[in-house]
Amino acid sequence: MDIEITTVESIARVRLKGRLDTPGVDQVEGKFTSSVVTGGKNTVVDLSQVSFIASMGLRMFIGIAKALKRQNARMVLFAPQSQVNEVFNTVLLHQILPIVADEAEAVRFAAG
Amino acid sequence: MGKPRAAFSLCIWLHDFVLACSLRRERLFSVLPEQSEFMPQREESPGDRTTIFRRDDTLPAETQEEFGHYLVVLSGAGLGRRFRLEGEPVTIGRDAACGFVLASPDVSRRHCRLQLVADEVFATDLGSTNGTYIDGKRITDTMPLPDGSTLEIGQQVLKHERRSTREVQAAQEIDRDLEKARNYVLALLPVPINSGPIQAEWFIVPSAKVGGDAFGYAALDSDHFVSYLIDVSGHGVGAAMLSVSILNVLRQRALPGTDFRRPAEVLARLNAMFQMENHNGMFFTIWYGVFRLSDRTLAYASGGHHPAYLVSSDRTEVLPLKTRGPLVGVADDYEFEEATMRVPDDSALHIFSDGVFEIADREGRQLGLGDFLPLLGRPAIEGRSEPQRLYQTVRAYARPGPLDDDFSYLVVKLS
Repeated sequence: MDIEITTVESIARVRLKGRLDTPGVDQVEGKFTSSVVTGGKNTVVDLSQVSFIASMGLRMFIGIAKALKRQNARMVLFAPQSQVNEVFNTVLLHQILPIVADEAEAVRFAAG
Repeated sequence: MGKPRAAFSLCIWLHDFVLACSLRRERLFSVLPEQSEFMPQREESPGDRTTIFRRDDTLPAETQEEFGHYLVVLSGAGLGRRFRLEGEPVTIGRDAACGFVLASPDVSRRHCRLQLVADEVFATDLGSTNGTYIDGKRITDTMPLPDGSTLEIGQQVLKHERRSTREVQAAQEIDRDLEKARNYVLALLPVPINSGPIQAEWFIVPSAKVGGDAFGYAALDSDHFVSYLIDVSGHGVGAAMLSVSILNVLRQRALPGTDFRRPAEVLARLNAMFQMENHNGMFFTIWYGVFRLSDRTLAYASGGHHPAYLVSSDRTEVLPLKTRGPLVGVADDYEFEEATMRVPDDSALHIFSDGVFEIADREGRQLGLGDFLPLLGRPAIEGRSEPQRLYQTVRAYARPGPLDDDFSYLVVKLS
């Protein structure tokens, strides 16, 4: 599991690549959390290269989104693959955090 | 013992169990610095800051580590069993005369042989019917079995580990505690029902020693029969602790003022009780259904769970039973939908966890629910329960080693 984080115009842009199963989450969660939650940054997350998500991946996103919300910041997911999106639909993740089609829309949402 | 007191005792027991495991792990890893054969000693003179490492001959004898080669059963019969390889060759098979017996029909009487030569392990297939595989590749001759590799024999998967005997002893102590926890969780699951208008059978294989799945069924009264399955995020001891708590609430019907015949009401009350902020960031999915015998109606609700399925007696119709409902425990203001349907005669209700279908196959491809559903229409196999048949089919598709997630499968036949 790979993670790449950059900040452009005060919005953190996170690119994830690989499987968000338990080992994958273990590899990226620390960096993800410390990079975006500590600063309370609005965050967009590129999921176009995430091929699978398990419950631990959902737990990571929900935990970070809640932590950001407490700091009046928000996280937006974008471009999930169909299999990942199917999981999001099953658990109604969009009720907790926005999931949009592309990066431009995600940035607009994140900027509020 | 009253319900609150029973719940409190359970919490204390689980707390002690996790603490004991933590302490043992600390003890396991805290010995590592003492194992070093060389101890750094600093000798300094003016202008000299060289650090000299000297051999310390005063180290106690117990620091001289003894290593052994072990086979650990990762999946199949005897999960968690550990076997040490010594100098003599060991034959693996289902024949009682074998040095390592695997009592499974897909294992040949004398399946393969392992031999330790100069601190290396070699495996030889003995003309077995189903073959012997090392890390997913079938062997036709004698091949090395490296440390950390898997040995697949039929549906049995074993791992070769070269470990110090002290590590193994500590690991075995943890394993014994985990086995107790596993047995406790299994003891909470209902016994199969083999006769009467409603019959139930199940099969569960945690991906770790204990898992985050649990399920149950019971008569609520003379006219209502409830079935449910819970899947807590993650697996292992932490997830098992929460699933046991939820299971006990449902078994004891310990949600004050709740009508357990109304699925959406039950899920809303569970959601209020198990908010993730109060449960170490964990949430869960659930499918909950209540069958009314008098008019054969099924009321059901889902909390973030994929559908359960109603399978017709001739297996030609597979009907998804899904309502919109969020993950349970994530936010306290959620509402849950409930649906009702009339159940045709002789239908079977299939409720299962996502670990049943979220598997990677032998080529590494990720499979999903759509790949699994056609298996429901396949014929039964005599002598195997339906959940067992489906597990063995999934196991045959999946890559070697334990499944990625807990496999939990419940079938309730509504005759």
